[in-house]
Amino acid sequence: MLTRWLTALFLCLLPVGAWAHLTPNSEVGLAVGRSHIEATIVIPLGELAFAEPALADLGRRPLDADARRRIERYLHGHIGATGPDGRMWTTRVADSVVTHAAPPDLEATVILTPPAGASARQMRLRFDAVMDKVPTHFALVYLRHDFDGGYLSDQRRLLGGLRRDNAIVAIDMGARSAWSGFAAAIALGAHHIAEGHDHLLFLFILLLAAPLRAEGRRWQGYAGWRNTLRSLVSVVTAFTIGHSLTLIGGAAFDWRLPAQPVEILIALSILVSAVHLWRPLFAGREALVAGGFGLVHGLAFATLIGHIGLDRWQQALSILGFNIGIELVQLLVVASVLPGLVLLAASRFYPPAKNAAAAFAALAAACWIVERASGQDFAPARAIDALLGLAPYAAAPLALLGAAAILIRRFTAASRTS
Amino acid sequence: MPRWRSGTVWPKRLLTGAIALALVTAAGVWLAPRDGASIDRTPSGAGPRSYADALARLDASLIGTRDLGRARPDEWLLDERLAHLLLSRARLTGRFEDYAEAQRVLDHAFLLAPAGAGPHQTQMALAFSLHRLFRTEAMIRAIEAYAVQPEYETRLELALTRGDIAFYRGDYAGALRTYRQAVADDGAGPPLRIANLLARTGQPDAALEMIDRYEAGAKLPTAQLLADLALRRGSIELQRGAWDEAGRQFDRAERLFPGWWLTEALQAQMLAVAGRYPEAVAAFETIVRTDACPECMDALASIHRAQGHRDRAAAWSARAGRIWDRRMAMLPEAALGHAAEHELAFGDVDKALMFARRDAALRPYGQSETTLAWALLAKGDAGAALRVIDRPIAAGWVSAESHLAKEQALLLLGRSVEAEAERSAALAINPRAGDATGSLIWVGH
Repeated sequence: MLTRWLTALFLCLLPVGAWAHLTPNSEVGLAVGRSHIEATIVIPLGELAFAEPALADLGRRPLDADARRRIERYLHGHIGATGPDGRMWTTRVADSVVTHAAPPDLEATVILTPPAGASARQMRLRFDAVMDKVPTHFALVYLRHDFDGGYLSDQRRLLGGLRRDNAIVAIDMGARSAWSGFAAAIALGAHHIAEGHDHLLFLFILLLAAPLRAEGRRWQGYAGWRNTLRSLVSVVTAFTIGHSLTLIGGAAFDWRLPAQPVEILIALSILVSAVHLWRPLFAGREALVAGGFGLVHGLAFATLIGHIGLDRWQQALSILGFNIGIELVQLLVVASVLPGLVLLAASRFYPPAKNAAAAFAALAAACWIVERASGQDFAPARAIDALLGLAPYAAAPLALLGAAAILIRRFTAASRTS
Repeated sequence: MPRWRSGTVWPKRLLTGAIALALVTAAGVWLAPRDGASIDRTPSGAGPRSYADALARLDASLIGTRDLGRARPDEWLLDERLAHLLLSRARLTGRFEDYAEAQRVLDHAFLLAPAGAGPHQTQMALAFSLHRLFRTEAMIRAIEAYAVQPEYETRLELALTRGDIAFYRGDYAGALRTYRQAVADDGAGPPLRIANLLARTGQPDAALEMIDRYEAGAKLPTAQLLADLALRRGSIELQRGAWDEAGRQFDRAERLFPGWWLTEALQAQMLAVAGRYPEAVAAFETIVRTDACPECMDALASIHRAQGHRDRAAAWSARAGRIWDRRMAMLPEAALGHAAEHELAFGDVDKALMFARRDAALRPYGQSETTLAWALLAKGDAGAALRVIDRPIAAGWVSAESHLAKEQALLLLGRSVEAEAERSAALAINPRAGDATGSLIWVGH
């Protein structure tokens, strides 16, 4: 009885595990330009209020000029930089906002500029906001992007950590080269579209309609290789023009739409093209539709590349490189799909194959719409994404299938003749 | 030019629609996240049905046992029974006063007991609860030296407690070996102990499966047992960032065994991490009106601090600090870990480091060593922090917080590439490990 009771006591011992990450930390994200460094500083508002009572009112009302002045004064006292030669850099608080996250943060942009003639690629950064009063406070320093160093990833790269007794970090971004930034932008564009299944699926579904000839509300057969090629070129070109326009507008002129409706519209574009593949909705005007929806896809691309590059030249090279990366992958997709498409399109297998593709695309689009509208992970959408990750492996079987279809047709025709 | 002819359209449309519907349904079923316990037993009629009921029963038993003890002051067995009840109530309420009284009662019982006998089993349980591992071992040895060998159940419990001690000394492989050897005879296994170990060594799914199996096989499970199992599941989910699922488990625990302050605190905490601060504050304040729960007060201080309410944060942390001070004076070994965390967040870093060092010396396992690493980081000694945190990680302790502590130590030492790897490891264990809301988690961790 006693033993059973002692065993039962063990039940009351919950599994334990240290959280011990007891106070939220600050972050300093650096974007390295040619003439200056842009530091994006995030300080948990509660920690700031705890350390600096004079700023305790920040989250309670919109920031007015007085609040901004107080923030500026505070930050000036807690951030600074010196070059390798010991000369001080100038510091300017360019912007500050209080986020409405839970818990809220103070987000500020500080421009750090080296003295005339000094490089912006080496410095010793000092940041001790909050930690001068709260000894447990920690600040994470990371790289947002460095165009000339070829670092444009959307993943942050850790550079250092700061604490009260260790509030200075040496930053050395190495030698600079505009070409490494350009090459990185190409790689980023290629990577983004290769991973962005929705963009490629939209294009792919429009390409599947290219070899078809419409009569009324029905697809009635193969349009011939010349028409197929013409249609392919016009769809790809129109899509490129469309997304390039908004990519340039978004990245260079800060055209913005909230991310959620843009993402939903992209899924909707796939749904529309899937229905069109099943029954022609806009036969002969695919290029126009590709261009129109390309505008929407471009806005999504712009969210990724828009913040990269601190001067016009870097921004222009980023956009150009990113776009070239996108085009390279698009051309690769067209080149992979084309042989199979041309071979298969004239066969009797094409109608069921394209209907199956339309059904799959419609299903994928519907799942993405649900996921993007709800803002919650939707398991079928995740499964479709995983499946589409395998899509490159389908190009060769598609070509083989097309070749097989041609052979079967010829064999059948020869049998009939004999 | 070839032409296609389609047949009747409607069957095809219906077929396409049906296939699409089937695909979505199948994907939803196969890929849907784990939704609540796969086992969902109903409590048997045995045992108390609520926290208030459990407390009332314990209080009544305590009154009866105290009366008996007064009538027969020379019987150490009555003292042991009283100590049992006090320990049971302490485990339920978290009150240190009951632990302290249980120890006083047991000390008295040992004075009364003849040589070679005494309340060793209860002392073993109490010492273990109070994080006194050497005393626990001494009790095991004393029981093993009895002239008459104890019954199988007792021998099994002794062996399992040796496994628990190995766990809290950071020997996770040894603990698992001991658990498995201890039950090799009947093969039943100590599922909850193994589940606890698995949860802390990177196998949360296996741990959840063991808890499910335990629940499925439990004979006449009480409401309290089922609630406890739900809390265990919730804690495991919390540690891997599955906050929705953790919340569902805590809600289930509250439905099964309503009114338990621990469940209510965990529910309040889920409101806090969801950013529902006013509701979280109200819920925590309700708890601390009836239960002196310093973790809840620390949580309240953190919520106010996150909102920039400096004075309210200071008031709650000061109130919690007074209770931690009292507990440190009463039963220091049991209070060290939490007191160190309190000092790290709101108090004196030197005190935090002193407490963390003592706690890690007494129980050198992953949690205490992680807290020690944070304290060393707070003192600016990143090198020592790295040496400390490497130990549990190398021994097989798996927690996002350990990797975050290591990441921070590496960053402060300028080893940013290695730090990246630690951050990735932390986020792989718990995708929310880096969230600022982590500072609001004080209970059930």
